[in-house]
Amino acid sequence: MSMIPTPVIADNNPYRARYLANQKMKPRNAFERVAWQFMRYSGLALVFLALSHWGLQHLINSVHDLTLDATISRWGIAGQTATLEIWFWRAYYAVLLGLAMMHGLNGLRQVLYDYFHYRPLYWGFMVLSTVLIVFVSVAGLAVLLLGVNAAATGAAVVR
Amino acid sequence: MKVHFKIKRFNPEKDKKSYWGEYDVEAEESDRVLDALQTVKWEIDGTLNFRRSCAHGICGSDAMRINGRNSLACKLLIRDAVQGGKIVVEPILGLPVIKDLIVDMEPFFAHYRAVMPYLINDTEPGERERLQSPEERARFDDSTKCILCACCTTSCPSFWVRGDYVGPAAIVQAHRFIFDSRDQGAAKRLDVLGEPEGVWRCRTVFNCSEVCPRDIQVTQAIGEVKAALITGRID
Repeated sequence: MSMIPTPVIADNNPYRARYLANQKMKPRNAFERVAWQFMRYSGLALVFLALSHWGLQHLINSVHDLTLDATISRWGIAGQTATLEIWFWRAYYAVLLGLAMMHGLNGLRQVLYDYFHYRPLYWGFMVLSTVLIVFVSVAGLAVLLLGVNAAATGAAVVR
Repeated sequence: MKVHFKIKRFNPEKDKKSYWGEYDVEAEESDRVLDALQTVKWEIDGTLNFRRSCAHGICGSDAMRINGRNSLACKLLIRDAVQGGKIVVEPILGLPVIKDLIVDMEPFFAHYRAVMPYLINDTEPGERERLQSPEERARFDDSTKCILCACCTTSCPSFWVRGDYVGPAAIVQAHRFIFDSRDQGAAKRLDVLGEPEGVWRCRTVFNCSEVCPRDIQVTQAIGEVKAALITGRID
């Protein structure tokens, strides 16, 4: 019975060197890769953001107190100087809104890409959904950053 | 035991639409589904068409959808397939049906060719051969087991809705060479798999790993290719 020697790859072996060089690769098409990574990271972040929002609304605060006043206490009133606490909640909800909208839009893009093989139809629905999602995001951000217009909504308590 | 077979039939020369052919077959529990199909063809209805070559789970030509699940007819036993005395057999999904259980595999093999499933190495192999340590060989051992039966690709919902998705089988084949220390074509293959119709169409449904008759961890292989694309490293 002959002994089979354990293969040893010498450092100066030409294909070994090329292999090591191949280990630093820059993939060409970045968009789908970035979109895929975004879905993972934003999805993970949304689990915590959405759960903490739910916990805040339903466990810490009572369901019966989900009023405009409760919202104003976190988002502030238009025209009034916002406290640091209000800025914290504004940032929290801006991140929640932004991530949710972008995560949703990218998911929708994938579904449309899968099922609408006729390009003009795909692009038509893409433009429509992008416009809708941008509108909702901008409207939400405007309320968040400018504060709630309490007079217009007729809130019971204006602090 | 008596097994009632419901087989999807289609003859493009005669039929406008596919229909169900129903056959009662006397079979042993330990028989394979392929044996029963052969009984149908040889003793009941000679017009039934299906592919099979080696009949021992190696050539991968008799992949079909048996009771809603892709499988090799030559590897699946009657007792494991039968549900309420019935076995439903259909051609694999997502590829054009030529006749009965025979599908056109060309779109599948076009994706296979796209990932360059051969060793790429321009350098001289040296005195004897290109050496590789057992660890380096073990790195891609799982993906060498693929027999190109198309069970995985045709069980993938992403492939069903969009046939231009390269599909799990082609990714497994690319994985086999990308992680081979003797190969130098990883960057080229990752370029192909990084395209919109490449690995990113995978939604981690796990159907592929579930049905692979060779028990390849297909979803894991796809995940490793995704990781290679993200990090730019193959280790």
